[in-house]
Amino acid sequence: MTAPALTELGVFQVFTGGGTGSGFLIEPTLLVTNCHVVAPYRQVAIELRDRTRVLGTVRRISPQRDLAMVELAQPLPGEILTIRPGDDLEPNQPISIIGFPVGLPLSITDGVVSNPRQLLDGQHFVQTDAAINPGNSGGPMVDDERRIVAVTTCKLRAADNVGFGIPGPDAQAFVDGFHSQTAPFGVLCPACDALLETAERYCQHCGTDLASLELATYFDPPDLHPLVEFVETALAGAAVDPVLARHGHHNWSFYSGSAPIEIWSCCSEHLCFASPLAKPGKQQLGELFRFLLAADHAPMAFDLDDNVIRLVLTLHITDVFADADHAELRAWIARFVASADRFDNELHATYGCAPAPTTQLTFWKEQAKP
Amino acid sequence: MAITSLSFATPLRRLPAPRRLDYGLLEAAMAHAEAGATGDAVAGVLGHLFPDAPVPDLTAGPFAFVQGSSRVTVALDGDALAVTVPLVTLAGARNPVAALRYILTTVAGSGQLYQPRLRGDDITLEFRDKLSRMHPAKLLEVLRQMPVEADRVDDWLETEFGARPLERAPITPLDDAEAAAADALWRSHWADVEELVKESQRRRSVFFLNEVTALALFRVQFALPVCGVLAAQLTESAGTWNDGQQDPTKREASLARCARDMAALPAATLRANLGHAAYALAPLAPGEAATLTSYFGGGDYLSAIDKYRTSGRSFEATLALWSSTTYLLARYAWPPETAAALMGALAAASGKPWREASAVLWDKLRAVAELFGADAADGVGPDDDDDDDDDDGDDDDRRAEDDR
Repeated sequence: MTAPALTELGVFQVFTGGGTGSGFLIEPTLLVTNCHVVAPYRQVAIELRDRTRVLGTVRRISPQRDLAMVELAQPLPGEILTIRPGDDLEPNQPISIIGFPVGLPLSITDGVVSNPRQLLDGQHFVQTDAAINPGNSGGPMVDDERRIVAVTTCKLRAADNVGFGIPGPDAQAFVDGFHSQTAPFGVLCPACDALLETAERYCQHCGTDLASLELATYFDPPDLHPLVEFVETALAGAAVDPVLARHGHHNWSFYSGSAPIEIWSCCSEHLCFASPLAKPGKQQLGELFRFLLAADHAPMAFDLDDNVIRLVLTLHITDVFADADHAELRAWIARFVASADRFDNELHATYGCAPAPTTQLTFWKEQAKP
Repeated sequence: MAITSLSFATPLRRLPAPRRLDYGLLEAAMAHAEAGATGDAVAGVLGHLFPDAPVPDLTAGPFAFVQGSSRVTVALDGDALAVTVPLVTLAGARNPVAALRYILTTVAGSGQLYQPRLRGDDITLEFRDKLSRMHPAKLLEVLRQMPVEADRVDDWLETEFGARPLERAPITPLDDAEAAAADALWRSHWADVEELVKESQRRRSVFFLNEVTALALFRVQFALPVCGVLAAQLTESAGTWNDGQQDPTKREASLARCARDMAALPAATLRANLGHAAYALAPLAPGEAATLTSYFGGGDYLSAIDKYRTSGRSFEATLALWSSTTYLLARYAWPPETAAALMGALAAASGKPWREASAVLWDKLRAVAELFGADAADGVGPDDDDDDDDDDGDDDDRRAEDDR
């Protein structure tokens, strides 16, 4: 039997308003990742290979062991990797890290076990020399039989090739513990692993003072920055699920039909909206470019970015913080979302444009049918 | 022929005097905006930006000003404020498709509040928003960036694609004497650059190359009132050779090619791309005492020059002091006495052998820093050479300063 291709593995990218990470299926509707990937969010987005996203609800977290269990709104396809039993890793044993480094598509990186039980801050980790980058967190570290030997968690910034994973047996204990409990959400006590279902000051089981853990941050919904609140209210008004659209700090990405939409605030002055729609065809370029520059698209506009036609809209950040006129600005955003989906079809049908590299081709083909 | 000394000629460009803006007006405008009095906020911004003129009353009619070749109109239109800068008409253009593609690629874009709009055959840069949303920060950004952007692309559209300008502000051409002097200066400059590139190739020093590329760009910008498509071509070319991130060999080759092309420019073409423009908004940031101190009052850069100077490498030391002084004169508007002192240092070193020139420049520029620089108590730090007051909005032509 041949091993499944990388893209067939049940390893998926996790998106929150704080960043992105990796996670792996232990069941079709259960995904394990790092606590630091999901916290403080209780709802996250999981992206499939076709770039559609599924809602995930955080059910269990262990801040101490940096693990989280996410229940998915629907079963996901993908080969479920098993957790390697026992504690028998050897130094220099080959391992691979699977995940989404720096937001890139699913990648695999090879290395060896540098130390199977490295003691760090009072806990044991699997130390490896395989490259770990932001976005790998929460993904599996696998042996040559693609069994999970650890959950990728961190690396030493001040050193080269010193990365760490949470040992497989610890991950298995976390999974087993979850299966033995029924609480919809809980945090594991850092001292005794007892399940805390409310934000108590002291652990009901072992009495540990939990003040430094700031448990409330895990139980209460996170305070939204005014910019986030503005954008996500607007997205909700445009029938876009804000949780599914989150793509890290002050970034959102989602599809409006076949059109990808990106929203970001990369400076202190602008909130930017862009939708890469299509590539110009070879005919009617004059007519196409005249259409794109037509004044009646305002306040939206088109540009050409690396020969990709983008619909763009820019708001000044002072608009977000002013109380007045939010309704009109949200209407602009809703119009932008709807227009992106409409324009890519129009560009194809009227001007013979080709899909952009990030166009959702399934929908493009559906909509392009006569 | 090998270059044996620096040369200095009085600039033909009219050096702008520093314009001190009233930031109290701007703060008051912010307060007005916070209080919902956006009409007063707009008036405050205009008062801040145009200190030498009465504050325009937009309710009485549009307000127009000239910035280089751009004519900017600010007007109330119902409940909105509109700012427009006409660019070109495509009627009769040689290559309208290329012109349209150029506009979509280099003028339209995300992260900017204004966009190019096509009405019939006319392209205009436009910004329009409700007066009730007119925060001073937004209006400042629009008024500072739009005319600079228009000034950047209008000549290119005309020269490259045959588009005809719309309502362009006139630029005063040079008289015959000025044109002759400019031609001599231009050819002498690019001949110097060609020799300096050869020296750079021989010395294989990134420090030397950085100084050559900075001098190549900023000596022209300081000395000559270059406008038109030539200014855009020079800036575009400098994007390669004055970029410290690029491969040094590629930078040298690019600069050598540029120097050859520029030296071969016909006199009539050069003259057509020179002229004195009017600027309602300050085109350069005011020169600050701290900037002088950061260059010539001490620090790592000056120490590096001193090491060259005292270790028998006067050529490098002179070149660095020459290019830095030229850079400061090109990129900042200095008080007349400071500008005169900086130019005086260059004039005193002009024509002297490298060793003598480096000693003259060292002494004179140190004296300039002592006389006009910041007090020691103000601190000496790395120069942030494009502060928020730099109204030209062009970050592409910063000197390569990686070795500093």
